[in-house]
Amino acid sequence: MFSCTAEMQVTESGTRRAVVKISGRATIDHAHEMWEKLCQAFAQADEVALALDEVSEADLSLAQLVVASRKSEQSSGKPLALVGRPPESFLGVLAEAGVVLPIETEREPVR
Amino acid sequence: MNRDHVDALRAAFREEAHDLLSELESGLLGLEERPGDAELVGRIFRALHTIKGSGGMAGFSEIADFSHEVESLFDLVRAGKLRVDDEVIDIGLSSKDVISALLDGKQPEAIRETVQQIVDRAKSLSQGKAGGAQHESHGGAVLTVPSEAESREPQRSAIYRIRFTPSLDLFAHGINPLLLLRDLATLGNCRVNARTSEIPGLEAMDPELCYLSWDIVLTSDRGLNAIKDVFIFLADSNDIRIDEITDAATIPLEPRHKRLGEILVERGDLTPQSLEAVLTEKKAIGQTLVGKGLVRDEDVASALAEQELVREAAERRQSEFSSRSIRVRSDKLDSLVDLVGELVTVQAGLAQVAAHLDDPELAAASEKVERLTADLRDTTMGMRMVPIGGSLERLNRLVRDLSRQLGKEAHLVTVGEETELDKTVIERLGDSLVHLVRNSLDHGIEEPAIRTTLGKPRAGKVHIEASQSGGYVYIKIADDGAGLDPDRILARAVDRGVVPTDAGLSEREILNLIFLPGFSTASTVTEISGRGVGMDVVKTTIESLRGEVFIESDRGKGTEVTLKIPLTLAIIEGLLVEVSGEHLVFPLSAVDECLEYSVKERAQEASIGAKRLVEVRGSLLPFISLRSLFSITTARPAIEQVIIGQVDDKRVGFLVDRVVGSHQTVIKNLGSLYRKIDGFSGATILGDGTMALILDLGRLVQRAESSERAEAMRQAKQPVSIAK
Repeated sequence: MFSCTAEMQVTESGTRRAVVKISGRATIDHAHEMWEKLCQAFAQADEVALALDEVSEADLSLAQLVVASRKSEQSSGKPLALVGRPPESFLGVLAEAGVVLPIETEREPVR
Repeated sequence: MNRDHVDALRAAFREEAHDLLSELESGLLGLEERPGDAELVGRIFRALHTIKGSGGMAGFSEIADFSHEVESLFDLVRAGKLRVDDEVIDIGLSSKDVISALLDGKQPEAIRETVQQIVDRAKSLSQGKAGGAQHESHGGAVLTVPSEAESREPQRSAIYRIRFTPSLDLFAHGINPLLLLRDLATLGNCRVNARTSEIPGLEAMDPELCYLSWDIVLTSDRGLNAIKDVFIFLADSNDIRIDEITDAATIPLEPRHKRLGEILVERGDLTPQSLEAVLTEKKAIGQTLVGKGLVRDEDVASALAEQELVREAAERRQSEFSSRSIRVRSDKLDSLVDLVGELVTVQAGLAQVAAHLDDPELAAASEKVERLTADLRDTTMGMRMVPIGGSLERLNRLVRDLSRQLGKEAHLVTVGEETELDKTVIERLGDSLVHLVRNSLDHGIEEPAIRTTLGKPRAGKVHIEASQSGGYVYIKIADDGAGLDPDRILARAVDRGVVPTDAGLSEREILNLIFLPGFSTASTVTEISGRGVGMDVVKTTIESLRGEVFIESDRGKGTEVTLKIPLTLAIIEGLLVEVSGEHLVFPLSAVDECLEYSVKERAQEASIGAKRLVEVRGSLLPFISLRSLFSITTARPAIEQVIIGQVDDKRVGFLVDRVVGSHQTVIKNLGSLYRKIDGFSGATILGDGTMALILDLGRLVQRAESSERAEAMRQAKQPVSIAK
C-alpha cells in the first residue's frame, strides 16, 4: 500500500513548511507521484521536510528523488530536512548501491 | 606430457587433496555448529573448488565431475540461497568420503551408486529449497552445468575496475540495477560507488529515468566472462567498461600503491597536465582537485575505494605469503634426520679425540662443531614437528557419527591443538586416540534420557587437551560419563584368574587392570568397542613410543586417560652411565638427580624383601641395582652412583657404577632379534664407535618387580627343614 502526501504547515515565525510523507512501497511504479509531491512542496513552501519512516520497500528511484531534492534545495535555497531515521530497508538499498545520501539521516525536523 | 610427469602430477594432487579434504571435513563440522558462519562456507567452497580444478588437471576426472556437483550446492549456500541444515552437512560429509575413496584408488564403478545418490540428493535439495528464489536475473536450474573450461580450470584472482553507465531508460525495461550489483557481489570482494552527479534537480528530472551510474572495484577469481555474464541481458545502449587492473597473485608483496592522482588519470577522469599543475601546490590531492573543479567528489571517492581494495589485496597476499610453507616429502626429512644423527655421532667422536689429544685449538674447534650440531639437530627436529590439531580434528567426525549411531548426544571439545609433536609420533598415535574416544562414547557417555535423570546435561562431553611440559607432550582424554566401576573390573579380573581374590589391590591398580590383554568389562561386545582388544593395544603403542598411560576415574562423573609421550623419537638428551664397563643411556628428561653411594652406605643398606632402599634427605627411596638385574657378578666399585628418576609418577633409584655425563643420543632401533628384550627402548652409537643401550625405565621397574615376586614365591615354596 503506497501513499504520498504533502502537508503545508505555517510555523510561529510565519515560515511555510511542507511535510512530504511517503509510506508503503516507494518504488519506480510510484516515482512520478512522489516527484510531483516533492516539486509541489518546493514550489509552495519556504522549507521542506521529508518523512520516509513509514516506507516499507524502496528502490533506486527513491534514492534518485532524495538526491534530486537535495540539488533543488541548493538551487532554491529552501532548506530540506529528513524527519526521523529512514527505514532499514531503504538504508540497505543505499548501501548495496553505494549511494551516499546527501542529507543527514538523523536530523530533527526544522521547527 | 610424459608418463613420469603425469604420475608426479597425480601424486602431488593426492597429497594436496588429502589436506583439502581435512579442511573440508573440519569446515563442515564447524558449519554444523555455526550454520551462519560465512567464512566457513567460503572455506568449504574453496576446498571443493580446488579439488575440482586440480583433480581435473591431474586427470582425476571422476573427482572433478563429482566435486563440481557438490561445489554447486555450496555455491548456493555461499550466495545465501540455500540454508545450512543437517542434509547439507550430511551431503558434504558423504561427498568427502567419496572423494577420499576415489583418491585412495577405489574404482568409480564400485561406488557409482553412492555417487549418484549424493548427486541426486544435492540436486533435489537445491531445486526443492532454492528453486524459486535463485538466479532472478539469469533464470535456469540451480545446478548449472558449467563450460568445460570452467569445470576444469581454477581461475586466477584478479582485480577488475567496472564502470557501469546504464542507459537512461533502464527502469523502463523493467531492469533493477540493484540485482545486477548483487550478482556482482557474489563473484568476490566488491566495492560499489554510485555516481550521482548526473541526477538533476527535481525541476529538471524525469523520475522514471535512471541517472545513476556506478564505479565498481571487484576482486574475483571467477574470470572476466563471469563478470560479463552479469550484464549479459542489458542492451547495447548501456555502457559497461570492464578493465583488469591487476592480477591479485602478482601484486608486489610490498607494493607502491598507486597514488590517487595516478588512478584518476588512468581512469580518464583527469588529464596528466592538470595533475602535474596541482601537484606543485602540495595540498591533499583529492581536496585540491575537487576544489579546482577538475574532478568531482564521487570521482575521488571511487578512486579511493580502488586504492583501498588494492591495498587490501596486497595485505592479504602478504599474509598468505608469510604463512606459506613448502611441501617436503617425509622420507627426505627422515634421511635428513638420519644424517644429522650421523653428524651428532661423529661430533661426539671428535670431542673424544680432542679431549684425548689435549690440544686447545682442536678442542675449541670441536666445541664450535658441537654448538652447530646442536643447533642443526634442533632445527631438523623442529622441521618434523607438526601441530596435533590435525589429528584431533578428525575425531570431531568420529564423535558426530558415533554418537548418532549409538543414539547418544555428545560433543568434542579440544584444547591445545597447536601443541607440536614429531610427525612419526602423531601418525602412530592416531589409532589410540580413536580407540579412547570410541571407548568414551560407547562405555562412558550415557544415553540422553539417563543423563537427564542423573541431572547431567543431555549431551555428553569428550574433552581432549594437549599440552607440552619439558620433553613430553601430555594428551588428556576425559569424558563426563559414567566412569569406571572398580568392583566390576576386579570381579572380572578375579573371574579370569588374572589376580587372586585376596590381592588387596588399590583402586589405581584395579583401574590399571583394563590395560591387560583381552580384558573388557563391557557386557555386550559392540561394533564400536568392547572387544577387549583395545586398551592393551593403546598401552603397547604408547609404550613403544617411550610414553606412558595413566587412568583416573570417578564413578558417575567420568574417566580421564592421560597419555605422556616424548616429543621426538629420533634424538634425545641422554645421561650416559657405566655398569661393569658397559655403557648405558638414561633419558635425561626422566632423571631428577644423581647421588653417590659409597661402601659405607652399602654396609648400612636397608632392605625390605629383595627391594633395596637408599636414604635421600631423611626419607627412604627404593632403588634397583642394574648389576643385580642384569646378573653381573664382577666386583663393585668402591663408590657407586644412584640415578634417581620418575617412573609412573613414582621416584625410583637405579644403582650404576659411574656417571659419564650428558650425551646427545641418536636413537637406533634394536634389530628384530633383540626387540623382545625387556628394559631397553633402543641403542645408540657412541663417539668411539661402541654401542650403548638406552634404558626403558618403566620396563626395568616392572622387570625388577616381577623378579621380586618370583623370588618371594620361590622362598614361600621352599620346604621347611626340620632338624632331627
